[in-house]
Amino acid sequence: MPMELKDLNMFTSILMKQAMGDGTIDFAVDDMTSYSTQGAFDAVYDPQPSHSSTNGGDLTNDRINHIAKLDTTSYAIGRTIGAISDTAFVLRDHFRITANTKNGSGYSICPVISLSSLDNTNDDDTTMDSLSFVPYSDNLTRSYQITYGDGETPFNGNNTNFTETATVNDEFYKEHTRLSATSHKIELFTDAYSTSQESKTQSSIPSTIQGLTDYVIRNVNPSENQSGSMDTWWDDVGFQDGVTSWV
Amino acid sequence: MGLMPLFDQTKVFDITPYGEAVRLSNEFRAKPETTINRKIGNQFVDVVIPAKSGFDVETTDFNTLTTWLQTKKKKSQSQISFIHRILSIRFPTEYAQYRDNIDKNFKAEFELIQSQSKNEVEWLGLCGFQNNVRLDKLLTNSKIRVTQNKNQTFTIKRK
Repeated sequence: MPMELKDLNMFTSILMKQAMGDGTIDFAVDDMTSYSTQGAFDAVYDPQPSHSSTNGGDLTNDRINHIAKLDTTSYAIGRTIGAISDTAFVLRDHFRITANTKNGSGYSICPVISLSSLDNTNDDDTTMDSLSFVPYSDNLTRSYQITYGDGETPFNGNNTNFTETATVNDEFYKEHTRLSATSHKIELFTDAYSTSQESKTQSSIPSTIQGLTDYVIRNVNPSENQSGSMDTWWDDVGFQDGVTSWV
Repeated sequence: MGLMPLFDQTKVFDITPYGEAVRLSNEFRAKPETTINRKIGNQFVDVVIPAKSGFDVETTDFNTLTTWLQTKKKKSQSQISFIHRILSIRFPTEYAQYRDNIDKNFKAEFELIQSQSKNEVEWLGLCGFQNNVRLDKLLTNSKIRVTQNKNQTFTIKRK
């Protein structure tokens, strides 16, 4: 059935909202202490395919556990935010790498942490846009990465490397900022956003990366899973839409 | 036909209106076939990225720009505003006559672009920043304050 004018207008207004950054989808830093049941936790941070020790909210420690490992299941956990501005946002979270194992000469097991246009039920989707952070661990020698995807899987060779290497017991506060339609920045802090460890900006990303809606922690390239694992936890997630400076 | 000097590519990494204009303009340019070495599985392999057709916004003709506006390919709001601003600077007469082809949701923006048109690269690049994408304020959030710093970068905060 052909699209009617009213549908087109509705579609246009949705696109407009996506680019506007009106702040209605903001949420304060979530220390994850407010969830009294697993169901309440999972309702906000949805674990796919289901809650497990590998992937899910941890009521005991008030955080998200995610283990990237070789498995036929694509584990992912995410929080739907809403229609995010296409030109400005700030995302904050806090993470620790608690274990990292290798097996063989090299592997690419690690999580990829994205703001993406599709939720945590999607991995290698060729229509997905995303802006991401990757604690890349290939052969235990690789650096953190900032990357993007424009109609492709989040981890697709568009990365820029940090000097800092992803290492067991690393713990950083992370701030991810979209600075404009064509640029984004990730900064790692050793404490709650006062002591900067390192910052990387990608200033030639496609402006067509748009319609981002979800905060998702996925296994990087499930189709490329090799062997080994990376254990991480994540907490203190916060989001401000339409701005480039956290207030 | 109105020509403009090619943008200064040395400013492509600047997070400023000029740098944004360079980056937006580069999204439209033709790109040669390239090969990147990527890891797939446990091996590094050469991946060929095919050549891409395109145009230089500084020198291309009116029809190429308006044809791009009419194609159904994936576009960003910033790209759309950028091309309209290019048209207003390089082809002011033809652009004014283009009115009947403008979507009704863009009519006010079309008028504002013509009235506020500035032959400055910075004005072209402004449309990549929050609250500056459109002049009709359809994408403007009044709860946000956008401040331009002395080095031309922006600070964008809640009021």
